[in-house]
Amino acid sequence: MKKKTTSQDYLKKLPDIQRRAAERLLAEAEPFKPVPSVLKQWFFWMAMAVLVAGISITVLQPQDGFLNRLQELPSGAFLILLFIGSALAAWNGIASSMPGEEPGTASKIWMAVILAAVTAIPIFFFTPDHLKDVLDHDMATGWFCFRTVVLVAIPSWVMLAWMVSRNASFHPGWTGAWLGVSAFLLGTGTIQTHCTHWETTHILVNHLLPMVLLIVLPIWAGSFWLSRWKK
Amino acid sequence: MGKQNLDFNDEQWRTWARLMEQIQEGDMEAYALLLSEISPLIFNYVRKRVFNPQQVEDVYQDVLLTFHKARHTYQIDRPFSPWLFTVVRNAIWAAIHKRHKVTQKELQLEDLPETAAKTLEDGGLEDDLQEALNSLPEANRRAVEMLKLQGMDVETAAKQLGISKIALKVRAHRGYEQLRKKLMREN
Repeated sequence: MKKKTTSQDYLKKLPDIQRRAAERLLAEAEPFKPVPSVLKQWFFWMAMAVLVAGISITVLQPQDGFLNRLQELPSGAFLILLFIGSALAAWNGIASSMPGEEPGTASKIWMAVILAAVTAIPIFFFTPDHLKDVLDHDMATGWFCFRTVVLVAIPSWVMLAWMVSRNASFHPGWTGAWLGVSAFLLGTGTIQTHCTHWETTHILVNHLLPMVLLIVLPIWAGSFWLSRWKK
Repeated sequence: MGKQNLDFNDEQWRTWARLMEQIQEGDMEAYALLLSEISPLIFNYVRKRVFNPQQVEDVYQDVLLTFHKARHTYQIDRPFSPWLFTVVRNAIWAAIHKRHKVTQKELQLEDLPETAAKTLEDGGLEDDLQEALNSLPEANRRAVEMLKLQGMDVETAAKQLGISKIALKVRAHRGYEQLRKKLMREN
């Protein structure tokens, strides 16, 4: 009767160094569950993002005349680009944590174009206002818009990073940054549905500056949390 | 990466992809078979990219361990070679970077025995040094003694302790740090 081939038989032909290393891995190997594909993870996050934005908008209440505002091209384009940017950054973040699926040059260029556009639209198309007035208003309202963007972005980032931490990112700082951009753009998009101040400086200071100032946090946290799979 | 693809035909890569699928279903023999087939490929890939021959073995082990830890991210409907070489390439870079950092720290600490020797000539520190050495955790003390007092090379000492060279270096490094702190406090 033919003898059944065992794991040891397969490894016999290897040189000592390679055989010992392979034996160690086999001894440590346990059953595991493969992570879902980038697409499935992204769809899952999209559902979560809709939920987060939906709850936040319900709590905050959409601004009066919101639909009319959306019919104006710069306002509509600005809002749509915020959500598209958030979705694309989430895709790049998830893909960057899956070996062999890292975002390509085209995806990075699109992201840069979107970020440039969401900065340029308020500057060139929205009503100009003065920094002093914006700061006075912020002092009176306790930086409501700024706080709201951060309050939506932080739990969103935590949920996204928790999902992605099961993957295997070789550049956890970058992955953290992509996820951070996604979470902050989601926060900006959410506040934009509520806030009636469609003015240049207000939007730059209260809706976009949180991402610029606080992006170091997801990079820093990501570099630890998202490299835990190696431990 | 294209070069590596030429070394094996498509059928070979598809076979390995199928083995990955079986591994994800918990088949340990498929894992042994895959390791027996890709180990030489990975070892050669590492050897071509690591210029210091003394580091090849350690880097190879790190790379294989990374492959093991990342195997849950392989998607069975995707080609195997881009996934494998992304893991291997990044793991090599990370392993070299880690060793570079350890070496830099060791170089910074190389003046430690000289400092101790100079003070010994003046007398008075031998007891302090011995006391500080005795107070180290057993594993770190053994590493320092073997490498610095007995003058053993890393490979022999690691073999004698039954640990990897990198683990020994880490223990010794921790030992130097603890020793330095203790001696600085006492002086």
